[in-house]
Amino acid sequence: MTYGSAWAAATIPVWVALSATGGVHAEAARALQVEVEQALPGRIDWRVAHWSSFTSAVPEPQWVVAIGTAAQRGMQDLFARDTTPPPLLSILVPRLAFERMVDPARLRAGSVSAVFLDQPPWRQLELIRLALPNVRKVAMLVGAESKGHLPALEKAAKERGFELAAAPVEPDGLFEALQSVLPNADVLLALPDPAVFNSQTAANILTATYRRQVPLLGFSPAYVKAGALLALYSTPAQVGVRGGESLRLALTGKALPAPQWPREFVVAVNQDVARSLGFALDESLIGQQLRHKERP
Amino acid sequence: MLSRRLFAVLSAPTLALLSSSAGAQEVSEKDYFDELPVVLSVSRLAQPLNEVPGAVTVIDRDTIRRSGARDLTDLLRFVPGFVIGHINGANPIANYHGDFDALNRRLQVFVDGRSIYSGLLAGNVSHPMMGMVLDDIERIEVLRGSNSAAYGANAFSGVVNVVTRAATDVPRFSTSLALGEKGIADRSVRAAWGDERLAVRLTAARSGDSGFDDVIDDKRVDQFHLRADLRPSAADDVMLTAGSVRHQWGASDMLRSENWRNVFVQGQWRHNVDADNDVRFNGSFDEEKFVDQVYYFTLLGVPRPYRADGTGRRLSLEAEHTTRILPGLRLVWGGQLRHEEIRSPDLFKEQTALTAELRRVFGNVEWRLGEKWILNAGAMWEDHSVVGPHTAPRLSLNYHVLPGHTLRFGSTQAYRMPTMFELRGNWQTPSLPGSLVLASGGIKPERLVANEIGYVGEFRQLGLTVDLRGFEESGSSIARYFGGYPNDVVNKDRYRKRGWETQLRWKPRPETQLLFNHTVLKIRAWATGDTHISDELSAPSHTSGLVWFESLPAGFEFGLSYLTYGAMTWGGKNDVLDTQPRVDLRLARRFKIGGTQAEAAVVTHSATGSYQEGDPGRYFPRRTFATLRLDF
Repeated sequence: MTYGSAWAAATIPVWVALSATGGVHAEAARALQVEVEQALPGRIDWRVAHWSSFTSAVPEPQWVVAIGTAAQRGMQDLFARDTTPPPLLSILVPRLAFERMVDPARLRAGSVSAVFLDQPPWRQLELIRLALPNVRKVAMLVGAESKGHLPALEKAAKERGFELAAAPVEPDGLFEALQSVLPNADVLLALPDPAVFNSQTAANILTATYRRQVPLLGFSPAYVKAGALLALYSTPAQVGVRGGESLRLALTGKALPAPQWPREFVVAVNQDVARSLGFALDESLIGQQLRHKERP
Repeated sequence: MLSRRLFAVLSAPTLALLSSSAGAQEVSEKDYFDELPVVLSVSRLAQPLNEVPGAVTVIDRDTIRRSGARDLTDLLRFVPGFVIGHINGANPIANYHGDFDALNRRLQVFVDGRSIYSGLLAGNVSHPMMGMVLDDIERIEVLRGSNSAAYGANAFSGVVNVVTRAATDVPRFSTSLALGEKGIADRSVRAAWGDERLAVRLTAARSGDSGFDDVIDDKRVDQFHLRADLRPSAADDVMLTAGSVRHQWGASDMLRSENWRNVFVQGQWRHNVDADNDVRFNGSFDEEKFVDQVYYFTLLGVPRPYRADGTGRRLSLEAEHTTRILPGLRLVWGGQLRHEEIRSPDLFKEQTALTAELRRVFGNVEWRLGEKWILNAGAMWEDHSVVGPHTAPRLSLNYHVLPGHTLRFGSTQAYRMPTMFELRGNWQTPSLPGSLVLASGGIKPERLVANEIGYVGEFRQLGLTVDLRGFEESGSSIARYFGGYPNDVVNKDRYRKRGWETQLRWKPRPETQLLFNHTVLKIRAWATGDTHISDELSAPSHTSGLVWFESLPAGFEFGLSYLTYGAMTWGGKNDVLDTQPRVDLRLARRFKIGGTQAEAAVVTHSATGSYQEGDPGRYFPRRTFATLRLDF
């Protein structure tokens, strides 16, 4: 079956496999469905459920949307023996997780795509430039997982005249890494890595950076609430909408777009921390400026 | 066989753990959506300098490192309005805007929230200020001006708040050595270990020098400090400190030996209740011992010992609650209990211990009135078991004229509670019959009313910050030793200090840092006899300072500080010191030896030659010394 032939069918069976029922996954799913339904009202036969309740690969859907890491893995496993598996769109998944799981052949063939949850390196650096114009040295704590982000960040930093300093975090070596990187840092860019940034270490990282007056750029609203100066992230709904756009394009006969970053994002500022560190930051203005930079 | 089985038993869960943790180490969307506890809650955030209800100078780690200073008093030279002197080479003293005497009893000094002063020696802070290792200090916040409403009676003229480095912020192992002229020999070792849940640092240090020329004032300070930082949960952090300090001077004097010793333990627990509520509990115990033994000769030429020893103990318990009532309204309130016990038959002619209790309740609101105005209003009620209750209020209004430009208007009233010696002292010397000091106990707290206008400006493009403070400080009921023979301690005389002071910090480029201080101070005193003359000269009419730090290529660093004081006296009107400059120089190089960070430096204090400090005849000598610090 070709993608185009799906158009001919009366209703198109689409599975939406959730990594967890409810919560952020359901929120992304709803946003995706709404986006598609607006363009193709009533045309889709949605089946939205926890990934584990899709126990049989038959009757095969025309499209599979996986929401989250567990769902992507579950759906890939389910169709592992299928020589012509239905195309898979994975959303709300970190780039590194997606790339680790995906079958490179299917990716090349264009039958798998994704809308990542992370922010592109250039967006992170442009935000730093807008919000903290005096910053030259961007420090990072990297673990085995997040070091995968370094090449792209290095490139983006070079183009923008930033100096990157990445401190590798060994097991039990968080403080040494902080000590080595903070004295010369203008900002600490947090990169998701459960071995480095987790609920255990967040308190220590936040206090250590605050003590040194080094602002922290987090990757989730939780960081801003906890005490990061600012955060850049996309909400589940924003990722869902982007996923819906990709799916809509594919359903209307166009090729499945290549894996992409979420287009919409949120810049959040912790005003108490900003005031204490002596920054005057307007989160909505910075968000606007950043959006304008990307889409003038 | 046994060992193999044991291995099997051990390895199965271990492997399971390893594999499950390996799975957990991979990034997933969970990392983006996990909730985190509020770590930097409102009460843990420092007020920015332009919203503080007072003038604040911060001396940061880098300045401390590059200053070439060997003790805390030396660092206070960088703070506008501060007057630094020396009783002798072993006993530096510091005060804000002059103090009428060299007893050093009107400043409040905190180390990690623990008030340090000698209850035994008339509230003096100069001995405790010797008891810290500069390399253990993260930063020093100096509040210029009285702040009894927030810190209690001791915060009469100013507050020095020392924040030490957390165990997690220092290298695993550090050692430093300084050797040089005038017998300078300082050495320290520090070790730190631990993880996110518990981290400990231990410092042992000995410092010493031979003091001033022609004065028997050689000094040795031995100290030992421990700090443990615990984080039992994300909402709680606990800090434990303990230490001992021994400050000894004049050991080369055959006839006299003097030393001051202090041991302390302190615990602080901070708990984050929710996003808008924090509580803090602090408890500390201090014990101090003063030994002063001198041999005097009777009329027949027989040597006899004379002692002026004593022991002081104090226990302090404090609780504080910070709460955000409305988005723009924050309240800090709490209470403190302090028990003080002093035993010195030599200084009080009393065999039993003398005790005093202090109870305090304090509150301060920070109210944000729109974008431009911040109102800080606070008060402290103190009840001293001997002196009775007093209330110290404070009101301050900060106005953000433009972004980066803030005006401040403040008014406060402060009291200084009398010390035990001022209340009950009975001091006799062997050479005279009767008492030299005999306190009748009728003394009341000293009183101060201070009004100020401040400006804090930040010119980010230029890398310049400007701090300006104009003040009028009117004091009355000064606690004076008066009467001649014996001296009673009585409330007498009043004064008015008017002037302005400024500090400019300029970082024209990343390699250059300049600091300029200037203070103009006019003291008007009303006192009997000639005392008003020495009172009016108790601080220089002008003080200027310039500090220049330059980072050079290849890890070299250069530092220069120039300070000039106007004429002043630490004693009577006949002991006036002339205007004199002091120049300090430092050349350092930071380099790596393998994984070890090293810093070698040569420092010269008073490079242009010796100058008078303290009493006439006491000269701070030119001295050059070399330091080496290694961080492993």
